[in-house]
Amino acid sequence: MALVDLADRRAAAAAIFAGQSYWQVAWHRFRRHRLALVGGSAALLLSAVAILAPLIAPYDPESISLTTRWKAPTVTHPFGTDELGRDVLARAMYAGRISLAVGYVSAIGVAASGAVAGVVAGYYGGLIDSGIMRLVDILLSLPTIPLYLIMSALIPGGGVDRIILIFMIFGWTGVSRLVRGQVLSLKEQDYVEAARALGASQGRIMLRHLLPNAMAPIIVATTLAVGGFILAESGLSYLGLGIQPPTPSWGNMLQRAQEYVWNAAWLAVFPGVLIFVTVLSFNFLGDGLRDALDPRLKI
Amino acid sequence: MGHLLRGLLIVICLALVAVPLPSAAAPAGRDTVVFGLAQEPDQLGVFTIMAVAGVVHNALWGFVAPYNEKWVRVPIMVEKLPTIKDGDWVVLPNKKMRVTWKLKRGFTWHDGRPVTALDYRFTYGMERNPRTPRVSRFIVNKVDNILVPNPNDPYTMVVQWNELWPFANFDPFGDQIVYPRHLLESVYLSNPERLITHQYWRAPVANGPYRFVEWVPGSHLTLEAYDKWPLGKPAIRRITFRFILDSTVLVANQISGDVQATEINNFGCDQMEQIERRNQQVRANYKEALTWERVDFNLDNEWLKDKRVRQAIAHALDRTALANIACSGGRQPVAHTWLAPGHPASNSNVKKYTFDLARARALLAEAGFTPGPDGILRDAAGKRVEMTIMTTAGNAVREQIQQVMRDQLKQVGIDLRIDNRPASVFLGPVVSQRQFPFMAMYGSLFSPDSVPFDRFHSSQIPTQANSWQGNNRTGWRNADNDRLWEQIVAELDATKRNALMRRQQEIQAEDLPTLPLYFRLNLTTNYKAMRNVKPTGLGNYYLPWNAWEWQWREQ
Amino acid sequence: MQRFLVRRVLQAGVVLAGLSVVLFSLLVYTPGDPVELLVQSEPDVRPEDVAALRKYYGLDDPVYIRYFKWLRTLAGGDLGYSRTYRVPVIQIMGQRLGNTLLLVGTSFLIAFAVGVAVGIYSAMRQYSAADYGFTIVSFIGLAMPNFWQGIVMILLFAVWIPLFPAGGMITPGVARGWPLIVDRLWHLVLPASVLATSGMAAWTRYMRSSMLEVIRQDYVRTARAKGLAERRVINRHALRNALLPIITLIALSIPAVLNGAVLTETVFSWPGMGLLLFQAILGHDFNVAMAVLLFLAVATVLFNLMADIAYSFVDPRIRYG
Repeated sequence: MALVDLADRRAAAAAIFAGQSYWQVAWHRFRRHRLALVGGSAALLLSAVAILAPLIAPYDPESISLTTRWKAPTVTHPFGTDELGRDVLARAMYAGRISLAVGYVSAIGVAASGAVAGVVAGYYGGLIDSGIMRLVDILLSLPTIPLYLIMSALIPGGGVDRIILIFMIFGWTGVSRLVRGQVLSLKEQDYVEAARALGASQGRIMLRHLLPNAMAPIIVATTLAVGGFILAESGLSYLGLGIQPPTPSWGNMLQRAQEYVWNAAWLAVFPGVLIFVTVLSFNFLGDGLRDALDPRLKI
Repeated sequence: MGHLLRGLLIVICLALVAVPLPSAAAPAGRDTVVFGLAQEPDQLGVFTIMAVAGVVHNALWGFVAPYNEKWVRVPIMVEKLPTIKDGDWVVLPNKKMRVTWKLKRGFTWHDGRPVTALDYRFTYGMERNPRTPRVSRFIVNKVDNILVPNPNDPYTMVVQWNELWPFANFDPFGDQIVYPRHLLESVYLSNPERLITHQYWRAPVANGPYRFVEWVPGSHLTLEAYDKWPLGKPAIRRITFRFILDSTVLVANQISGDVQATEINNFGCDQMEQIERRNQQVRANYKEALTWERVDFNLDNEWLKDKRVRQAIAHALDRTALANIACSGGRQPVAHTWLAPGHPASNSNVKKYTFDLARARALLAEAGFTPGPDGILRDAAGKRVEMTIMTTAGNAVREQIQQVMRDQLKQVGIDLRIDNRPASVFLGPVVSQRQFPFMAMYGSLFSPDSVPFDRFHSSQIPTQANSWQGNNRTGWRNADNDRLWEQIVAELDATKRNALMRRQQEIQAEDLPTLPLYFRLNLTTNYKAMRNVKPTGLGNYYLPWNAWEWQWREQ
Repeated sequence: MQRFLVRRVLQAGVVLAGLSVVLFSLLVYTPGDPVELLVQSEPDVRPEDVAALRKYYGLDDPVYIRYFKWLRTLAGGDLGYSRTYRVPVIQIMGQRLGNTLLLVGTSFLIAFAVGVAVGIYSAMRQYSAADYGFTIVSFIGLAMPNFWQGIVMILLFAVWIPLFPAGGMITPGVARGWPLIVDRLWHLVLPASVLATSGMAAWTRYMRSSMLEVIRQDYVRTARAKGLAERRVINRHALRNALLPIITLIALSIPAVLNGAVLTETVFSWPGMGLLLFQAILGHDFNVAMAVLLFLAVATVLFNLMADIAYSFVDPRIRYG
């Protein structure tokens, strides 16, 4: 959705003529996208809280107190306490570390592997291309949750690494398709031809000429993917196959809270709202980035 | 575009029509009781591999002699339970037995044919045949044959046992249910392997107080009162079992009154309390059961093979608090042995391990452990004391208990790590092949006539060499204990057998190969207006075990 | 055109064959099996019983033998038996497919109709308060965990304000005919609206951007310049072209909708394919899981193929080489 109007485009064009770089122009456009700014700030704030959790968490998230179970939110426990008397705010902060880490690492991993696959497929074409693209077709033609289910039954353990691995196995397809499309149109362009004529190695052409010019869709897709993977983790946790306790994640906090919605609704409210706000922020951010980097992009 | 929309509309209309419709047309009301079940059975009858099928069995089939709510066998389809004293249970000199049963007349299959001893003989043969997938042949294999000595009296049968079995007067041949010979025998004889795929198991003609009406897979199963049930036509006309897989949604259904009762749910006590509080018409049944939650120690472990370490762990844990997490309000008793207090053989005078940190520390010091700089113990070789505990992933209660255990054991210097697996993996290879390096937490269901020789005798330790036979997962070896078990399985006198079992519990409590946690309550709910509902708390005997006695009466 | 068709069909065949091998091996290597779960619920099960049952269900054969066995029965038009339900897979699938079509179809209709309408409205009034409002609402719809929304809806509209049933698909014993249809719709309201939420949001966003793009095109400006009524410009020129790319998206959205269906059907105990698949995977009901997954793949591949063909008919600019 392009929240950029013609006037904006003209301004951008003018800026380019005025000698500003592509990235300066993009920043200029991004700044004018209010929702994106809000989303970006919220994402930054949430990430900061997650990173600083050990310093700022009001309690030890693991500290059990069987005398103070099920305490509704108060000043001392702003998010209340859970079924073992642990402070929900502290747990939500530590869970944020896990959930955001799953989101970031999976998204970046997916972007990297997808970009490589896409560039390789687009650049070489032929058998390599159709091989990779058939694989993409296969993976894209199935809903992901059943695939995640099978993989989580297949790969033992319940840690962060497992979930990230599972997400990466199936997640790279979207980015690779985008990047391949970009590369297909880029590789016929003069400067690539020129580089080739000048004897640049294939690796160099892919790395220095094709990849940087396909950056816009990669950045946008990665940003949107962070939220997507956080949602996916919560869905898997709901089905009992996400990150396993005692490691807290927003998804498994929410799943656990379900049982207590009757007597301790706050347990379900806070992780749910946090997931929701985080995903929302990253979606706004991604949307703004798209409009700023390449409004014609279809993601 | 319009075409697309129109097309989709047509598809939706078709789907509306194509979905299987309930066959009868009476609205749900007072004469119908809807049960909410958290699982759907795979099929009904002997070949099911899901416990939930048992709930339906109780209403659909007549039971030979079910357990009642006081854990006493009540003869229903037989005149009496055979006893040695009466002479209809005879122990032969070669350690074989002969048990004579008199069947009550008047029981019929739902197609009107009488139930006779020939049905029992057929059922026995079918279940004994290794070409049918009967889940357990442990008891049926002890029976040599069933005879119907007088062809003119198809209500008398003689069961020949090839070894001593103390409960030969409870289940005629290891099963409480029989199947109609006239409907199944020809199919069975032509191909025993294919018998399981016969449609009978999804729409059975049974012989109980309710007859089968319909089963809409994924949705519900309906039964209707059987007019010719000899103990009187059931007052409640219909029982419908609805399958609701999400336990939060099941709770919501019980609170909203969409279901009138629930069975083998996965509720916790907290959810039970909420149901009672939010719908005053519902009664929550907390029934004592023989479900034993415990932590098995791996006795081959270098630390845990020392009895003092096991006892120290027991003293370091506040098991009252653990039991309270599982079910608050002190409803769920701490276990000191493997048999719940309601069982006549349960021994309440065994050694008890109270929550006593000083004692725990002393025992650990005595066993050669010294505190390290980080507060965690070191063994004689200087190794840091890290142990793992494994259980079924996704079981909220067990996972909470693990976390509290970790917290409590840290106080005596043991660093407990948690390593959980999905139930099918944990209960499969991990537990049954002893792949847990330190501790495994799980539950076991016993019945009043359990003789768990296979769990505690040293010949029953599963190993690669014996292709993992036996259920002694701790690897416990104790000569006194072994001798007692050998006596127990051969003792036909209940009083003497119970005395032996009480003695066995004392030895076990002292040696502590496994740490009892608590006895899990059996949790069910039903509308108070459903009169005469008597939960037994036992496996196989679910709420509908006496469904024909129920009545719907508002206050 | 013909060459293109043949090539696409061949490609689809390759995709499906590859899928069957991948899925089969994934499912086969999933550890644990249903037989092991018995150990806990039956006091008298012994390891020898477990071994006998494993053998009975053919769980001990080597993988490739199982694959070829499966392929052979499939070639005979037989999807095999469900290990859980002991009935032919085709029989369960048929029932569940109808239920899922009902749920997914209804929610799709709601989502698509509302999404397209709102998308057009937003695009026509870009940067108005309404546009911003709809944008934010659709973003919210996309960011909400599906199952969480479902549980909140059950609490709100089935327990606290008991308007709708808390899950399930029919009231047992309801009469045929109109009462049944009404009953089914009544059960459909909550799950369909949950499933429709994210779809609605997505369609709104797609439609809005597609519309915005078309409006900027020269021919729309020309039409306006000719003095045509705005309504006519939108209906005759813009809408048609803006809807085109959306049609291809329908096929691509199927996997996402089914993802939602797995979670929604689980929350609402809706006896559809999603729930069936979830249970089949967890319960190691091999034939059912394979059949459902392959069915989904075939459906998606076919839809993609159809979308491509339809697209080439509607938009003559597209040439396939």
